[in-house]
Amino acid sequence: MNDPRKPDRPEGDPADRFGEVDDTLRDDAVAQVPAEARGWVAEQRFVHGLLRSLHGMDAASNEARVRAVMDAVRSEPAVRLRAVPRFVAAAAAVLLAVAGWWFLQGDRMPSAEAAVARAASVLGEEVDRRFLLRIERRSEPAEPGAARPPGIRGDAFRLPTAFEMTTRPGRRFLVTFDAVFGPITCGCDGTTVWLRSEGGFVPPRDVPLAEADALLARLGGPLELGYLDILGIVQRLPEGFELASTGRVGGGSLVRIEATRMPESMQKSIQGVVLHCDEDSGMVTWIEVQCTGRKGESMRITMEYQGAVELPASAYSIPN
Amino acid sequence: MATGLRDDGARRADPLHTGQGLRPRPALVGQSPVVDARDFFEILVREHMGGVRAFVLCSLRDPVAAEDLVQEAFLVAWKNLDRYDRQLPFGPWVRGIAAKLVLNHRRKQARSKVLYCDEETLHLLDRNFEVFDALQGQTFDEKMNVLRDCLTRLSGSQREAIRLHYEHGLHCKEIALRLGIGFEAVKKHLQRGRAALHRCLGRKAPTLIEDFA
Repeated sequence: MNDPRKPDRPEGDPADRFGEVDDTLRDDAVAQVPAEARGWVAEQRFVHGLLRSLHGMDAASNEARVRAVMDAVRSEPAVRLRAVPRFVAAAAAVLLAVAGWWFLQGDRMPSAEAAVARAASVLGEEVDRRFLLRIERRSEPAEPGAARPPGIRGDAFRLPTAFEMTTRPGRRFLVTFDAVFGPITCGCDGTTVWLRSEGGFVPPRDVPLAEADALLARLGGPLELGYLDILGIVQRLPEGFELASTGRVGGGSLVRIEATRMPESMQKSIQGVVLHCDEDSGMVTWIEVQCTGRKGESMRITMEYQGAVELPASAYSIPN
Repeated sequence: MATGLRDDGARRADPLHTGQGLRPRPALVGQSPVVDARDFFEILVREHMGGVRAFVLCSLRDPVAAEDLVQEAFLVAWKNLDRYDRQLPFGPWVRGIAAKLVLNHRRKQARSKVLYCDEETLHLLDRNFEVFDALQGQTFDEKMNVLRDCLTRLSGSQREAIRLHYEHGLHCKEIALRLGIGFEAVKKHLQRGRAALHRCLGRKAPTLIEDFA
């Protein structure tokens, strides 16, 4: 690295002198880099690589990378090639040359747009699907003296941050969670959102879908209507987000898709979304949303697909 | 709630659910626990994954190709582990493998997919990573905290340009529109910002500065 004792720009700014050979900011290739620019180009590229690697450094992505490497390592044959007779190795090489092309073709990743469109299509099937919903608030702005949400029984009503959610297309969902005095179910039949508690410690509530966010806000917890609509989240992604396939998860059939919000997107509260789409089934099995909550706090919401379930048609209806 | 959960591979969604963490084999030979060499190798992979990934991302435009190449580098390292000189640090050795793969990749692919590369450029990059290795911190992520700290010290316009380019993936033209400045000004903010980050990182690794003077 540069010696910090040297002046920052001893012979003019290198960005002015060598800027044109910096291909990190060009779409085309640079044919040749002059010898005197090599050091500066390497410095730029070094920091460029570090800045790029800052993204995708979360624990799950790192674990997936390690897993992919170790899966490949573990699949290596124990027998060394040196011990294999030459004619067998030659035959294997011919076989690999023939089969390899097909294998490589099969390993191509689907485009992010295609994977998301397929996931939306699968999610749109008339099937009840269960997800484990986890909500992490990263930094909540301090609100000295702020009034408590008008919850019914104060702390006893405080919501947890992990929920079991079952969804069906048509904005039907059921969310269950344990409050201090017993389990609570929040459901929606597509037009009305309702709330029931076991034992009745919370008065039953039925509100039109359009007013449901106010009801959820009154609970004082992290639930919001927007991310209970998984199909809607996936369907709307291509509208305001730049999609990219960024690798495979665990070296298997799961493709990691990263959605980065474009400046003109209307979905201002969502910064980015990560999806794991199963190439075999088309189903999205993991959704991670980075977003801003009601109070401006940073939130990370993950939805882990648990599988399809069979519910009666009346399961989402307002209970009697 | 209804029951009858069907297993259709949902658990694969969370990589942690498929965990096969470091597990010494229970079998004993002559009172010594037998540990699979792969388990030791996994330690090395965990330790050096971040650094090798950053090294490859210096040169490859396509992040998916970069991930594949990183995986291949470690696989080649595993296959050639008997050639590794254990007196030397593992990081530079596996980066050397990655450098050869980058050059091969550049030969096979259209040049536009790989940034300008030759052996000298890759060597210079490796020297920078040697200095990075000397930064404070046990893990790659801890060392990256130094970069995060340096980012906070950039000027407002440089920091904003870098944030929009690397965090939001915007191109220079989009950043220019967003910030209401010219295309060339955005490029200069990015290049000068990166140069400032490089100087900042250099100041944090003083023991090796003499090598670069």
